[in-house]
Amino acid sequence: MRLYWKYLKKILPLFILSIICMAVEAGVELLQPTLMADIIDVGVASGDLSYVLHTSGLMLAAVAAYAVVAFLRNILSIRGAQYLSAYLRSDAYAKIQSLKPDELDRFGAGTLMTRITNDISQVQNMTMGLMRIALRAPILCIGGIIMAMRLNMELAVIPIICCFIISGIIMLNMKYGFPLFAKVQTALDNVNTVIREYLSGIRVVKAFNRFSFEVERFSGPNEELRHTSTFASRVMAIFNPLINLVIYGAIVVLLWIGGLKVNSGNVHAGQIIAFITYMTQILQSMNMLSNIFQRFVRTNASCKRLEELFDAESLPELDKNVKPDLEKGLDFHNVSFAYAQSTGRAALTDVSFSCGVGERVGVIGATGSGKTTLINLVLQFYQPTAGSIRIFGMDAADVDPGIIRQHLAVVPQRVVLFTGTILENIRWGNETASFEEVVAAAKAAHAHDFIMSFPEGYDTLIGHSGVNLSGGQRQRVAIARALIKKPRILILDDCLSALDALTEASIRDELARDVKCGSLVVSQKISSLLDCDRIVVLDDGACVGVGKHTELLETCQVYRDIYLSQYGAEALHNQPGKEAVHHG
Amino acid sequence: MDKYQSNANSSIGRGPGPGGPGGRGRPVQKPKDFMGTMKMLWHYMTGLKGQLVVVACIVMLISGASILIPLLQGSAVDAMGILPGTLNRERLVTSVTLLGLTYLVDVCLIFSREFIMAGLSQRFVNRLRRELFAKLQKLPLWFFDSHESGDLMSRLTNDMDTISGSVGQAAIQLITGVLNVSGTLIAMIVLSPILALTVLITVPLIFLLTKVVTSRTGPMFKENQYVLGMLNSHIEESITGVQTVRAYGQEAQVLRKFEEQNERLRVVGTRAHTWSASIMPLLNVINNFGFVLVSVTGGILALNGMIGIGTIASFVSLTKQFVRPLNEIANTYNSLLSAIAGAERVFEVMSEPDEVPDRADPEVLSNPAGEVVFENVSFGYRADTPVLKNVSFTVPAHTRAAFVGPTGAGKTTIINLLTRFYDVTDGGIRVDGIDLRDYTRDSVRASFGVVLQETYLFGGTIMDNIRYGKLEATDEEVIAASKAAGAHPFITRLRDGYNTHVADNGSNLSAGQRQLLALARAVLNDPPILILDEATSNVDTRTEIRIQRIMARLMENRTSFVIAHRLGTIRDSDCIFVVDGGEIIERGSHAELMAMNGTYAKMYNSQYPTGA
Repeated sequence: MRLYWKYLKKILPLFILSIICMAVEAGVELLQPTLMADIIDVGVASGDLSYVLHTSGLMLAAVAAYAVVAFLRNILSIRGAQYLSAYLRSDAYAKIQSLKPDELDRFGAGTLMTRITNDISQVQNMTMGLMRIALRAPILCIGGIIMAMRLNMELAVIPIICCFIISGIIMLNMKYGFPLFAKVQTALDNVNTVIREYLSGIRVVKAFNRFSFEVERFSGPNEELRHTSTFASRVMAIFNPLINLVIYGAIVVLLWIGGLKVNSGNVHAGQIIAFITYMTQILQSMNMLSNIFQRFVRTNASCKRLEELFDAESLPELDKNVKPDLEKGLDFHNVSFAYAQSTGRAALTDVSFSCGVGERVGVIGATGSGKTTLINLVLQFYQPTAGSIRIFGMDAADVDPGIIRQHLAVVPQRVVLFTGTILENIRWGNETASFEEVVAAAKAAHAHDFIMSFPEGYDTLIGHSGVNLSGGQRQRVAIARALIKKPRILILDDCLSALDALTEASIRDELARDVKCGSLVVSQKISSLLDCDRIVVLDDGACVGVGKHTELLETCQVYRDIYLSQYGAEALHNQPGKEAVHHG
Repeated sequence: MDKYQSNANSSIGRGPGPGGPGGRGRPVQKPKDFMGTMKMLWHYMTGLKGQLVVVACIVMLISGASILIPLLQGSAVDAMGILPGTLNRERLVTSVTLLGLTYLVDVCLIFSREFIMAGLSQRFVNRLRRELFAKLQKLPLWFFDSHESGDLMSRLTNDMDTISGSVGQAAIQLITGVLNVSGTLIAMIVLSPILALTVLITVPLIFLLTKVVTSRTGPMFKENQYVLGMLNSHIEESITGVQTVRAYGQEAQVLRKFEEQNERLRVVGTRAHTWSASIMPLLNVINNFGFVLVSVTGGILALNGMIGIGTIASFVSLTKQFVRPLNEIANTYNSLLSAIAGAERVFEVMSEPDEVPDRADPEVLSNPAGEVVFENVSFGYRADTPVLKNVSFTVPAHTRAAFVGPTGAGKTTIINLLTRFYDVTDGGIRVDGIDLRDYTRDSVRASFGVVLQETYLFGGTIMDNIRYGKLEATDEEVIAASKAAGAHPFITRLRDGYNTHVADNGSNLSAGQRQLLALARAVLNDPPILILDEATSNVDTRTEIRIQRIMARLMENRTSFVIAHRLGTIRDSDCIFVVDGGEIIERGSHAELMAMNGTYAKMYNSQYPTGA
């Protein structure tokens, strides 16, 4: 709720103005029954027509004032709520963009998405509700009591007692009812999880004929949801009529005692009518309040999730005023790293290697051996837990990652492209690139031909509303995007895996010819790394060998095993480095 | 887009209160076949109809009570008389007692309505959910392939919620509203036709103004939705692609684009919501105006002795009861329409055709030798684009067949046909000499073990997930199977070993680890015919070799089909089929194909430039 208050403060003028309007509105609504009581008790009782007309004139004037204020408040409150959610969304988005990678991993893209969309719109709705209804209820309540007291002190005791009892009921409701709704939400989430899993695994379910198993798995959460929902609704079914009961009882008492007092001349009949109207108004506003509170439960969960997001750790501010020395390359010195979320051990232990500008370094290793982690460290997504990384003549830990990334380009394993044209996507690498440069990069990445096969060419839209590129095509666009950046070190993270063998070979040739910079190539295939100046062999997070292909074949058992697994035993005897080994 | 839209109106209590956040004027989703959907809903009410009738009776009684209450209030006021000493004590006692009783009955009725409805609507939705899930089991794979999973997910969750939250509530509100309005109108006319007329003056005003507002807000909300959709998709892709954003230093640009769209949404949203929410104050003004009319006219009439003050008292309450539901009827009707439209989307799934049933008197495929023959098989997912063209081949029992070729060549389609995920458009597939379609589908699938590139993991322990291959397997069998599949080492390294909980479709495991689990599942399943569709593509080559040795043993006495990108893994197959453009362009053993020096040889040499 502290979050809520923080943003409410940002729209405080709008908020206060709309509360004032609301108070005026409530005032008019409360005035009307009193004026009507006057018409009956004074006008009708004394047969004074001009008094009746005079008072009705007043009533009409009040309605006019009401109209002006009500429309004003509508404009103010909507404006306020929209501003509030825009501010909140903006801050949440900026926060997400600045989150530390550990935190990004912890939240996951899915929940971040829910937070910034669903949760914020919950808060927005809540604000609108708050500015329009929630505060109206207490104002009407208190105002109603004041008006009732003005009409008749003794009778006013009845609505006052009423309000106390109802407040008690609402508080009980909050205490016992609300946790139930949180439970309902959890039960619903469980059901949805099973459905989501099922939809994603439908092929396997069918292949294994596990229909009854799945139905069984579904029925548990489904039944649970039914029970919790039914129970929660039934508890609410007690609370809501209870409020009615209190007001109803009060009206009965009012009519009875009031009737006796009218007879003795202490109270007028018109006042009784006014009282009943006040009571009904209080009842309505209380019912609304109780509704609002129920919605509040949801909003509260949303607020908590947003607060959790805002409390998450951001990236530290680092030195931006350093000049990188672009003649110097990359140097890993005894680097170790463990993911904050990992269940097992360190992802990298004591890794050292270097990659000069103009050199080509390969990284090879088994699944889970730490290849992608190594790339993540080079890209400064994470900082090593021990050891140091020097890059472009700077200690990476002290420098703003942006400075370093300016001179790196990566083609990731899982290519991410953004909604927009192909041209825009390639220009991500270099916004100022000319069209010719884009075409040149696309040609080098073997993307030009398929791009030109689209009727719109480079202006073809991709993403949500555009064409769907195949995995290989996406990768080639990503390669073009990296090439156009003209980086000092190019990072290829197993990026040729989705291309079929023939295309891959020709792109590799292009890369070797066109890219005049250092490159770091991650691959599971030895054939992609044969011409590397240096190959880093990772095994279970440790660096078990660094050297040229031929050297590693001699010295590194892991590398030998990988080689054997890809080429078979007979290949070892006629592989290219054979002579060198024999004579060297 | 829909799934990010809030559904704030479905509160459990008394349904959308009059202050629901600007619900009016939103584009209403209209059902295509209102009556048909209602009939379906009615059909799923079987067994609950008795309770429904009870609720209907209660609703009518409540309406009756709410008309009786103002009349009794008026009667009590009349009994007091306007001047001191004119009290009709007897009448006051009767009216107040009757009023008290009516109140009591009213409260009890409301309570029982809510109580019964809570059980009723949950039981109904629960049943609908269960039936829908059961239906999913019967739908052909085609259905899942041709629908976006987001859309399905939304039907199964959001639409279902809408049904549970709204159909019942909205229907009750609608009925109550109509009953109240008509009952109140009659009561008013009976009490005083002149006063009733003054109240009725406000009715055309309400309709006119509501119409003016809603006709404007429709397009506004459409624009609002559009902008919201744009913003959300920008958010989504920049969050999922945050590493790419950072790697290319695009943080500022992404943020700028967001700010632009966020501001645009604020402007558009403010306009749409202000207009749609203006109905509330509008109606309040009319409401107040009606109150003034009643007071004035009532005052004048009472002055002339044409009505008693009790009638004024009754009218004050009656007017409120008349105008308020009138305000809400349009709104409720719209939310009922939306709910019905949601139900319709659910029923659309329900009425999808099931998988083609087994033919009458089918064969059961049990322990097949495993000879598989494709005879002039043609197939297309859509009639106009054939994926397989006249494909014929024979895989003798107990041999290993491999399929290679570029992406989209039709390899996976062959597997889809073998497992009867789809049926051939033309030609036939025979297993052990009998057409696949003559067997029961269940027995076919039980005979084929499939390991796919993507692994299905569900919330549960690793042990549970492997056991999926053979539900009755003991822990020891599971462990033996995962040892055989090479998954044992990594599992034991996890913090909780086999009891490690698999989170969110296995996001805490790497792609390679997930594949090993799928393999373990297949080993445990021990099928007569084994199909590996890129089953080891995410595993590193050394592990792959280890797995292959195990798989080779596993495949020894059974027919197997392997699809692989890495040609090294299928080199030892008895027969390799090179698929391209939906046709088999080369076939033979590795050595034969290399000797042929065709496509296969080219592919192989590019992958292993220095090999053999």
